[in-house]
Formats: sequence, C-alpha cells, structure tokens
Amino acid sequence: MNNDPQANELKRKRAQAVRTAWVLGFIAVAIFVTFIGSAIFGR
Amino acid sequence: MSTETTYTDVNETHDEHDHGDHKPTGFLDRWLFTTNHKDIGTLYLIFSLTMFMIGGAMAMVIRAELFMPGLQLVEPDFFNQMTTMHALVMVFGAVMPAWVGFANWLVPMMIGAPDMALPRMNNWSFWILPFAFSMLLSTLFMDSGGPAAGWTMYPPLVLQTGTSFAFVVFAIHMMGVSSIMGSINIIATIFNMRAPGMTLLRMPMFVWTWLITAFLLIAVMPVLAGAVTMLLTDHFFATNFFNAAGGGDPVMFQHIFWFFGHPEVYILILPAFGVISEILPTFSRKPLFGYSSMVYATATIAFLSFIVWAHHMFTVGMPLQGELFFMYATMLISVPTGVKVFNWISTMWQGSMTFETPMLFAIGFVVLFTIGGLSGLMLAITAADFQYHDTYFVVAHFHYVLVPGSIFALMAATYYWLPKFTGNMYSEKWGKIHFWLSAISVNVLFFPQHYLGLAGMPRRIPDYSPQFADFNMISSIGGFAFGATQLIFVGVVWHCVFRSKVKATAMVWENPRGLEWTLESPPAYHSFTTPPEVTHNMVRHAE
Repeated sequence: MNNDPQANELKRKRAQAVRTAWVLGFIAVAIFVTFIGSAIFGR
Repeated sequence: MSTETTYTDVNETHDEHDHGDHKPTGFLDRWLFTTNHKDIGTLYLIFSLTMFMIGGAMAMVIRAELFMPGLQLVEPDFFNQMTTMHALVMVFGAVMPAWVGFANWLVPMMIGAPDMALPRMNNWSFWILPFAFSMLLSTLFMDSGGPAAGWTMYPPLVLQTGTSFAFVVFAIHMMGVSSIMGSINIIATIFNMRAPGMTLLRMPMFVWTWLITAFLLIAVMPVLAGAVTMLLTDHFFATNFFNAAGGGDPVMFQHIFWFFGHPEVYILILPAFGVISEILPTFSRKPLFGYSSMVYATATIAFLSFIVWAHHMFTVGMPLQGELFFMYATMLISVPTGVKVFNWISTMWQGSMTFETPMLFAIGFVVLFTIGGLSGLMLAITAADFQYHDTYFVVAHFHYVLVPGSIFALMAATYYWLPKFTGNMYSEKWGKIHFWLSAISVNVLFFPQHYLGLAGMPRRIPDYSPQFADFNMISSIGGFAFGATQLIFVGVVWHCVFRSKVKATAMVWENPRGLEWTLESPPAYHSFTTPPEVTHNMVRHAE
C-alpha cells in the first residue's frame, strides 16, 4: 500500500486520464462508423 | 533585466532533491521502448526533419522540371507522383509530426506534469509513423508507381493508381491512427495532469492552441479514414461510392475530403499561432496582448474551419446559395485571424524589442503568413475563384501559409526551445544567416507563382506554355536557394546538439515566462516529479 500522497494523486490523475482517453477514442470511432454508415445506408 | 524570484523557488522544490535523471542505458530501451515524453518528442522531431528533407528533395525535382518549358528531367507520370508525394510527406510526415514533437516536449513541462498522461500509447503513436511512411514511400519503387492524383486523391483519377494504392490507403490509415492517439494523449494530459493552480485560462498559448488542434484532429482524421476506405473498396472490391458509372458520386468524395481537409489546414497552423504567441512577448519584453481574446479567436477559427470546406470546390457546380454561404463563412475567418495578427502587433508595439533568431522567424511569420491570409481572402470570393481555381495562384497561397507560416514557426520554435532541450546555445550568427537567406529565397520562390496563376498557369503540370517561362525560372532559382538554405538549419541544429561549447542557462532568454523556464537546461529526464504550485505572477498574461 503506497502512502505517498503525491504518488496516489498521480495515480488518480492517470486513472482519470485513461477514462478521458476512452471517451475520446469512442468519439473518433463513432465518427468513422457514422461516415461509412451514412455513405452505405444513406444512398 | 530583472528575473522573477518565483522561478527560483519552483526550481528548488522539485529539482534540488531529486535530479530525476534515471535514463535507460541501452539504445533500444532508451529509444525503441521509451515512454518518456522528452525522448518521444525528440524522436518525433528527428523523424519530422528527415521527412522535411525527403519532401524537400521531391520539391527540388518539381522545381527542376519546371525550370524551363518542355520535358527535361522526368516523365510526366513521375512528376505527378512527386507533386502528390511531396504534399503527403510534408503535411503528414514533416509538419504534423514536428508539432506533435514540440507538444511532447513542451506540454508536460508547460503545465507542470511529470509526463504525458498515457506514456505507452505515446510510444506507440510515434513508432507507427516510420512504418507508415516506409510503406507510403515504398510505392515509388513498385511497378505501378506511387499515387499521382494529387494529395486530394480525387476519384475517378486516383482509382487509376495500380495495386500500390492499397499501400497508400493503409499508410494513411496508420498516420490517422497515430494522429488520433497522439491527440487523445494531449487532451487527456491537459485535462487531467495540470499542476495545482494551472487553471485553463493560465495555460500558455501553445498549450491552448494544441488542445484545440487535438480536438480538430479527433474530429476529422476519422473522416479521412472513412473517405480513403471507400476509395479502397471502390478500387478493389467493386463498390461504387464515387464511381458515376455505377451510380456513385465523385463530387461526394470532394465534400468528404474537404470536410477533413480544411480543418487539416488549421491543424498545421494553430500550433504555429501558439508558438508565435510565446516568442513575441519574450523578445518584446511585454506580456502577450489580449490573451483571452487569443484563446477565443483560436476556438472560433477551429469552429469556422468545419463550415467552410466547399470553398475548395466552388467550380463543381453548387447552388448559388451554397456558394454564397461558403464564401461569407470563409471571409468570417479573417475576423478571429485578424484579432490574432493585431494582438501580435500590439504585443510588439512599444516593446523593448531585440531580434534574436527566434524573433526574426516570428516576425517573418507574422508578415508573410498575412500575405497568405490575404490571398486566401481573394480565393474566398466565389466569382473570382472561378479564375483562380486550380492555378498557381492557389499554389502560391497555400505555400505562403505553410512555408513562411507553419515552417517558419517551426524554425522559430526550434531556435527558441532547442537551448532548453539540449542545454547548449546554437550559433546566433548562423541562425540569422539561415533566417535572412530563407526569408529572401522563400519570397523569390513563391511570390512569382501568384503572377503565374493570375496569368492562367494550371497547377500539377510538368510542362507549360512559353509565356510562363520567366517567372517559373525565377521561382525555381528561389526554390533551389531555399532548399540549400535548409542545409544550414540542419548544420546549426547538429552543431547545437553535439558541438556547441556555449552552455544555456535555465532561463536561456531574458525573462521568458512559463514553467518550462523554471527547469534546468537541459531539464532532468523526469521533470516535475513534484508538481509546482502555479501562482498568478508565473503566467505572462496575468500582468
């Protein structure tokens, strides 16, 4: 168990950053799929 | 000149007790498996410089062929491959990775973070690129040759590319994945890793411009990926997205491409705005004029970049209302851009200016980028664009934006921060020689192209009518001079990194502001392991 508050704070920030990254990655994939999908089904 | 005592305090808090200089010792561990933001930034910058040289060599082939009318040096198809590859290499291989390299070096140091938020993804983002570009460049050696339809890849022409087209598409996919991962990392870092007290409106302009650029990248790179995927299936899997004979619509590709392509232009230039906003205040010895208006102007430019794409395709036959909308929307961009230019001028106004090499390149940027902006306004006028479209006027316009724009800003950034990165000063004498030769030759190279375009010379042709001969010869001479001048840049950088005996101080310049200047030069391998407490007087615009 790490009791260093700075290390814990860094760990918390990185965990939050990973969540941010998942959201942004999802948005990127969604844009790609939307474009391809609209081209296929929008015709 | 006084220095801020606050900086000394910050330095002591994180560097005195832990020098954090635990570099990996093996070559592969240090460079192939690195997760350190400074090492990855260095890799990006070396890669970018290499691509700049390769793309520059292609430009020399183009200008040599255009030196005089007639076909002298290369076959027309190879000429078209050169124009296409020159653009792809310079846009995706030189300028974008260079900005990502600077972002890697600077964003964590500017916001007081120990590293990027996602260091292993950072490594992956970089190491995809050499493979992507090896694949792209390898098409030049294939039987079917490289892509030759221009970087815009308009169908149906691009669908005539041979089997190498699959390699081109896959390379673009990989570049896109790299860019998206890099952007996600930058946004995640800025949103989550800022030091205490580093509020959003205290962030340096370079960080702000990169934050907005990263959002642009995430929004438009998937669109490019979608477009080239549809080209791929049209080429190899008998779909008809863009094939009119099969019921497809080639103009739809142009809409999709430029929905990506216009924001892409801002992706190349917004970080340059950030760099100039860092450099001008330092050498004017004044705070940046209108910091918050700079932030809002950047965001406005980014928003507008999504609703102007069709000004690239006025001549396809749009309804008049559509043409008017895209014309006025495009002209609207000059408002936030004008805010920026006037803020830069106001920053310099009555400042105690000195003209070190970074400042020279920054001033060169402001003057010459503005010329590119004004010719952009001319192109935005729908009625006039029917004359300018697909001529050398367009080539002159976007090269003014990208070369004395983005590239000059990259040069300015290199001279400004290289002493911080390496701990060595570069040769000021050779830096200034590099600037003046570049500034003169870049105008000799591109200014005559305005006249060529107005006189009707089309772009992307290896041969031309004799009436265009004089200006083409002048342009080529400027091109050779500009190309040769960049060898000086390589020499100055090489000397600074490996040979310079003049050590840089922590501040490097007189009273620069920003957290990166609180670190030693070069900074420790692991900097800001203890986050600094950012106070009001540590940010330039707070004065």
